[in-house]
Amino acid sequence: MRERRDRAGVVVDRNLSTRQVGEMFEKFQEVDEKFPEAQRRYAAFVGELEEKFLARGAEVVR
Amino acid sequence: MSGFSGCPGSRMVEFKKEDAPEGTAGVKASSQLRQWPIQLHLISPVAPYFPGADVVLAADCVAFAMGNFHNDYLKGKSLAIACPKLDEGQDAYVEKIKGWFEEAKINTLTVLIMQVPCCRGLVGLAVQALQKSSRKVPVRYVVASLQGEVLQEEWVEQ
Repeated sequence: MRERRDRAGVVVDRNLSTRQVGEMFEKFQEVDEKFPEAQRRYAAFVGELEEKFLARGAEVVR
Repeated sequence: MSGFSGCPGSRMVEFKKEDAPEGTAGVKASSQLRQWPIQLHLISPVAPYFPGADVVLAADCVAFAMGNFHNDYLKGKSLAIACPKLDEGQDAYVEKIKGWFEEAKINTLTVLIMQVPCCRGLVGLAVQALQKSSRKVPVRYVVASLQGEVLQEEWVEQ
């Protein structure tokens, strides 16, 4: 899969057409709307992990 | 020092170019435009060619700078053009773009701008509209150089 990490940190599959990006985005949004609590919970979970491991990574670099 | 002290977008530059190569000189590229009007002040965000569409919002100068604008960016898409530097009433632009997101439920928005600093304003209008909109839509922007090369292409963070 050809992909690139955008400046915003978003992984983008470069093989996707603009239309496909929009259609996928719409589908993800529909699911997010159905399960709003899950979205918040997992965003918080990922945020915690990032905080934890990025801090650990910084220690290792030091 | 060039001696020019005004807006970089108004600085005079002349590109010395060879004529098009023989093989391409006589080739007629067909227009990919599929609607009228195209000026953002004149369009209705819910015109029949916008609902569900992939929309291109291009700064006025872009189509002249990019040699292959029609095939590379316009094909299969709906279009509006505007100038963030010279156009008046740009508050109406934010409302129209928001109308694309909320009422026309467009699929994506691609904002094409030139590299000059004043052109960033067009991306700013799209971002403002996105922030005001209750419906989120993928928005990307493409920055073209004065000679039509793509300098930057990014999706806007939601």
